[in-house]
Amino acid sequence: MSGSLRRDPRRVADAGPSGLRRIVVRKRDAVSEETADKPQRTSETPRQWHMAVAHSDRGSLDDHARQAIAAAAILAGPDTGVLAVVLGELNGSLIEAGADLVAVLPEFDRNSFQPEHELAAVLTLIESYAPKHIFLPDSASGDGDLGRRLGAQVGSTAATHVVELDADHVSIAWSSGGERARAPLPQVILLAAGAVDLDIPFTGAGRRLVVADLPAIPTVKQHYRDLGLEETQTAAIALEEADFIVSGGYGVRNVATLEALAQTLGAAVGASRVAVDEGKFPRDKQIGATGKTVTASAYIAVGISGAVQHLQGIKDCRHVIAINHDAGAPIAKRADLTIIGDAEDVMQALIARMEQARAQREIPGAS
Amino acid sequence: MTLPHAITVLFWLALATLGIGLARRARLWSAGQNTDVEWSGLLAIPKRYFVDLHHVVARDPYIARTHIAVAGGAVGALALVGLNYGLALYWRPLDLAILAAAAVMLIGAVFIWLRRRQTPSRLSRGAWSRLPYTLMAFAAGLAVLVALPPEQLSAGVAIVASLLLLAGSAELALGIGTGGPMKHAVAGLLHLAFHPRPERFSGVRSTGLKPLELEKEDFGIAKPTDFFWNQLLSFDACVQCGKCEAACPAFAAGQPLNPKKLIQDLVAGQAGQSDLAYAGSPYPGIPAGQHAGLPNVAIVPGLIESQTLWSCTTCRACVEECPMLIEHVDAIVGMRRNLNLTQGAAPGKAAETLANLRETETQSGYSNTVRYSWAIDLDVATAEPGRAVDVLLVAGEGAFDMRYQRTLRALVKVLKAAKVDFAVLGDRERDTGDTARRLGDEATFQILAMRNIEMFKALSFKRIVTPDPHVLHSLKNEYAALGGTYDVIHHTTYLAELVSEGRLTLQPSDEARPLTYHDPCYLGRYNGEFDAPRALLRKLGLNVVEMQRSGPRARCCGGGGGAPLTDIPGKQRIPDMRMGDVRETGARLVAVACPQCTAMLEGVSGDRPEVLDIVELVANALEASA
Amino acid sequence: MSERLSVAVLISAGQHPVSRAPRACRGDAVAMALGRKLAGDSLRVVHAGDPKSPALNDYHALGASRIEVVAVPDGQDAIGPLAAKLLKADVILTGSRAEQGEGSGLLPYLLAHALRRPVIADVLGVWIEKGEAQVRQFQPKGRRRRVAAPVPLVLSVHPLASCELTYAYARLKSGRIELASVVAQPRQAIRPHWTLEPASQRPVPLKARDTKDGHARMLGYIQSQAKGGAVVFEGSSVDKAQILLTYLRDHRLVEL
Repeated sequence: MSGSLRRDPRRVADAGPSGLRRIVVRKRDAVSEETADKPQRTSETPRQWHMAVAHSDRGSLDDHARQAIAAAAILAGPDTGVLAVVLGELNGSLIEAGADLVAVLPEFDRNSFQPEHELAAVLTLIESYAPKHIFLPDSASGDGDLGRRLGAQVGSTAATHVVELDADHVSIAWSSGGERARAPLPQVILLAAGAVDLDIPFTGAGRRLVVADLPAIPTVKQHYRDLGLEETQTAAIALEEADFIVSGGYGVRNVATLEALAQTLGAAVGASRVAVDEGKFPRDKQIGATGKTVTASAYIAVGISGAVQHLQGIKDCRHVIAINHDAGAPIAKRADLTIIGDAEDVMQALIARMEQARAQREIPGAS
Repeated sequence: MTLPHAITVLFWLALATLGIGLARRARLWSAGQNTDVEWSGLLAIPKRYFVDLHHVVARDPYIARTHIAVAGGAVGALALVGLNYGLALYWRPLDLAILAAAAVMLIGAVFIWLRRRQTPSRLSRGAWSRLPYTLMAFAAGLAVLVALPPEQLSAGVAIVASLLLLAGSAELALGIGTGGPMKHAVAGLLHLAFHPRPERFSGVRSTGLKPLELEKEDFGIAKPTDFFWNQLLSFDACVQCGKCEAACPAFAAGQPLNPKKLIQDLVAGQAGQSDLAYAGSPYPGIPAGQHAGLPNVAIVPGLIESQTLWSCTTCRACVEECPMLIEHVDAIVGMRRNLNLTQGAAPGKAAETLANLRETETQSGYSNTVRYSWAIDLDVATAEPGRAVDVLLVAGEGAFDMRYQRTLRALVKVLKAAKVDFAVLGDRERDTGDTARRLGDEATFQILAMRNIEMFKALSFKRIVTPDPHVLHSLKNEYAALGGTYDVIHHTTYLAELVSEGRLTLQPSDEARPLTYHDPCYLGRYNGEFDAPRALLRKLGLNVVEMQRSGPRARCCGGGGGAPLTDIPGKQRIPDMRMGDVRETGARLVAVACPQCTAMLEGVSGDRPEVLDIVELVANALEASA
Repeated sequence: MSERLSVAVLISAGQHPVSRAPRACRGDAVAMALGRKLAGDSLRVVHAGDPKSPALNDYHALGASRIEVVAVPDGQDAIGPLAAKLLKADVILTGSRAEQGEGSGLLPYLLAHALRRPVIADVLGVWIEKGEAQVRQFQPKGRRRRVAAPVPLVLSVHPLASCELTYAYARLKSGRIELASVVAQPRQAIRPHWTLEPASQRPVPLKARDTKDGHARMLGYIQSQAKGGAVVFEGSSVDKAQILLTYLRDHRLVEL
């Protein structure tokens, strides 16, 4: 960093008088560095195994997959090792994730569909390691499917959509959530996202199995033909499905800028009712009680004051970021981060900053 | 043959033509469904014509006067011609009386012609543009022929006058048989006699919807002959004046509905014709001339597109405006019923709402158990079997809306201030089914209604008070046919009553903003309550600046009949237009009395007058004085 | 469609998540609609369970004029009887998960396993050609995949499959139930023994025993408290954009 006057943008926030938090000058140090020297979970030689299976995505595991490994580790006794089976390439280690042994099967990929082959591979590993429990993320990107195939194949107990678990039980939502049902830990456990806290105070041994260590995987007859992924435009994704949404309201003067920002971020475009009524956006973009209910991981509300009806429509969004000129708008109370300023300027700056970051390969990938 | 004899022959010929034409038209009507009618209605025609019909026509004094002149002159002249020539009396004094009647008719016809020179867009052209000329021809021809004794009339004048009379007589006599403009005279009078909703002549508002006999597979109106015969007759009474078109909020919003065209389509359908001859405004966005119908062929989509039916807000402004007392909305709901019950049609969010009503008994899919969550801290009694109360408060669907809960809380405070012995229904309350019925889902309406009637049986109360005019309408007017009769009143009616009984004392409100009042359709046009809300506002010392369209002729907020759910696209939104009406008065505050109106008007974006329910104004005034 | 395919859809008794009222299971109804697209009126609609279930009325209203019911008593295994009933079906469609009970989404897999057939999940659309089913498959974040597999097979349909569901009361009145008797089968071993409890609290995420000292816990508390609701007033637009980008990156919301 060259200019000494430049404020550190990663400053942590502090509570202000109105209950809102203002960014204040640094106050972070202690927390993040503290994770560096965690102890290894166990030093014993494993006498039995917990297995976690998940697809990787472009060389890394997402949080949901890491939750499966964390569950396997947290529930493992000192004499139990954690074997992480990664279907697809893996860059980096899984020490932090809690895995003791890592089997990487790079011939697979979450983007390709070869369930029989994958199943054969996992069954071979199960045969070699005889895991007591097998954990998978119950996700729609292959792991939920594989876990169910496994459950049907091995014919032992399996629980899916597990929302809560500990050493003695798993719980699922019964009858779409009206009640809950518990059962002793079954052999195959498919975890709902969020069932495990990723903040673990230990590490795993993280030894990576080399090809020679892996048991030979038998070739099986493939019934399925993978015809590949379809090309889809992020802007064309249905709002209900979108994981990232940039949404415009009354305060958006230039819809083109908002669309450019959405394009840059790989986000779908949404709108508040007011903006739809004004004719800036088509009706099917409307988010809120009278429009669509969305469940994106990231929701950037640009120039949206946040009427109750709108907030109803975004209640299930994980991260809400507001760009607004009015700090008193209701959206600021809901948002995890609120940027006060001119929407157009901030959007332009963000687009420029994203492009710059990409050019410098700070954020490779998304195009 | 002498001229008088010729007139005699012409008279009987015309009468026979009229008779044959009427018989042919009556055959079309009789293809409709049977329904019980009071034949004594025939005797009531004069009263219904001169009082009820004229009451509507008189809103436009120019047309009222010209119609009296033309119709009165024509009826008088025809009666006298019948007497003098039909019976071959040939008395000269009667000729002068005929002359006088024909002259009155001619003057009226001239004024119609004058008005027609700048035809407003709501009027139909085509055959209707011809009418002033043929009427003038009839009157002028007749006048000339009877003005002088035949022997003093030159042959040339006599021939010209005879031709004029012939042309005019053809218009009058052939109208009913050929579906020409003069069809309205005969069909209109018979319609007055056999009106599908005769109670309207004794001042009863509401609708003419009858519960469908679902067990007998009565699934509403699919084809023209599924209408009751007197409904088919009523469509024939239409004079295409377009008053309905001018009043229709959906038409103004550019949605594909025009009540006039709809009635004309149904006329074409029962006669097996196309809409090519229709010469008025089309459904916005749907050009005329591409649809046709047959008496026994499905109306949708050959004759009428479903979009047209789903555009209606059921506000009944068309019914209010119609000088021929036609009831368009019942026809629309009747056709919606068939679309929904047999094909499951329910556009937009309507399908989801109907599923919610079936599965949760609420429109929004909430649980009935949280309907009164807003009252949790208000210490409100919940109705229990065996515990009698004076008043049952029924909140309706608005109870789930965070904005409307403010209104409900205000209402509870006011009822408490007046020491009313009341209870809410708690989790016993379920939707009344009003929205389901308007959307044509008669099955869900009846299921909900029967459950509610059963529920009310277990409770002991004197009357039901509700802030929701849609609840009011269904409980008060539509449950009776299914066996539930209750004393139901709107909260404004009840509060006005409490004030006049001295149980509630209102201090002048400190509200200084100019104010107007928006009449909810289901409170006003459906239930005739126009005064109580205004009386309350007066008691609060507030001066209502009336909108141009107010009272019985108020414009809809766009929220009725499930229209916000079907959400048929148009050029503009109905609530925006209504808010425009509000702005025109200079008001900065608009008082409302309905949860739908509240939601629709509050949904108008930008800088706009504030929307407050009357009971919120009352509660504010109570608070200020306390 | 040149070949005469036998297409069957499995339907279950659903219930509304809030009111618990019986209804057609939404996912199964979508599968049924997809089946109708594929086979028209020749679609077989099969239900394993109580033939008197009021939920079946909804399926009638949604277009099933005839429902074959395999009367499996509660607590008994449905896979065996269903497999027997569906031996001749070329394409078996199911919803993604039931609304009543466990809702595990395992049934299509177990059925496919019992019948020794391929199974494809998350199906959005299907085309049959020359004895092969081509499937459009749902993938998260708006992605779609094409997969093919030979007929006969089992397809579990994704709830987002586009189809027209219309509920018509007249169809409800004219629907018929056709009962098939079944031999009692023991409960499958694969199902865990569930005990029910009220869902009074939110599920507690599994957390490792905390070995931090008091100071670290306090810092952790501060950090998690400070996570949400930050408001940025100062700085240039560029600074603000950087803060926003940092937030996105810290939470892995932009791809790294």
